[in-house]
Amino acid sequence: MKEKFTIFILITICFLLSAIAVKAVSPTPEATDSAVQEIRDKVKEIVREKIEDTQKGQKAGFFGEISKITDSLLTLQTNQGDKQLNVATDAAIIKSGKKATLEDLETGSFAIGMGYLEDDNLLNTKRLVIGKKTELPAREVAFGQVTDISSEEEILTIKNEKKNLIYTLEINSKTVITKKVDGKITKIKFENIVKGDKLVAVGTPSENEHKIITAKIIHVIPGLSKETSPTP
Amino acid sequence: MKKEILIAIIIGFILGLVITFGIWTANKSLQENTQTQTTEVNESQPIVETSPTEEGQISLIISSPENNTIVNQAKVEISGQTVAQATVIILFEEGEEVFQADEKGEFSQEINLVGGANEIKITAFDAEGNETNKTLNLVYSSVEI
Repeated sequence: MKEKFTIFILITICFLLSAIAVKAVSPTPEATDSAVQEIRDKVKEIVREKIEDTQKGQKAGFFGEISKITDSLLTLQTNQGDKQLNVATDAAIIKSGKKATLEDLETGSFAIGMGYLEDDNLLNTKRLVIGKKTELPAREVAFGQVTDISSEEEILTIKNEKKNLIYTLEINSKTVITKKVDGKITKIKFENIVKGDKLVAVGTPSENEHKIITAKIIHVIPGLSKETSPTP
Repeated sequence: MKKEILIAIIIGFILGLVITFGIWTANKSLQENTQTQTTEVNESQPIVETSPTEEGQISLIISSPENNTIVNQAKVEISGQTVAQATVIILFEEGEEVFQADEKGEFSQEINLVGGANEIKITAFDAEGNETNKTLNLVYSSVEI
């Protein structure tokens, strides 16, 4: 009995000693490889951020005209399709600079919703601003090759072959004419434009039989001048 | 008696080794799992919006800022990529910018925003007159939500 007990004790002691010894000798990742710990921390941080993002959603803003109001859910008609705003109970609603409530909202009003995306088209709205839409000034962008130049009137005629459109560009003292020279955008004069130049113009349109644009900016595309031979 | 002690020591030592090997294997597999997760996370990060090109259109990618972003500064840098040396036009509420992309097709241009809604129209033309249009909606607000 005594012998068996001694053997049992010895087995246990040996087991513990060898286990402790081997564990002490074997390199632990934490002790020997700080890079592994760094990766673990990074993964933890990324996972935490992802969880937070999923819970809260991404911050975003939608704007457009209110087309439908159903309780706290608004439908906005935007330039990128219909978007829905779920107006939170604690949301700040501002109408014409003053605090307002959901009851003050009307269809047809222009609204800006700010909050957190629940999905691509649904915003958990925390701030809703009702106001007037600032209209983009009417501007036309034209690309074409110069086919005619009227130096006296300072008028250019350009043709866009792809769209088969002819534009008439009226130049005035405010028109800025540029060209990329030696890698830099440089101002040039009207006289520097020659037939065959390809250019892009931005200006105010006035529809006619041809498209007439009062040019604000003309940018001559470098190295593309190709004098067009007159058609016989 | 001596024989029994010797056997006990050997058995204890072998058992210890087996347990330690088990611990070491478990640690190793945990470490590999962590590395795999990191790779997966890194692989899922770069989400690049690609713009399909139709006939007569050129590629135009707006890399920054993202559409529908809330910006808290009046000045914002629009950056993206199109074809090399393309002419890029940005129309925004307070003006317009016309410039050229670099040899790689990359561009970056600072513009001014107005308070509230900003509808920004970006057009790119290549030398042949092929064009692509994109609209970027940004909200400029300094109020914390």
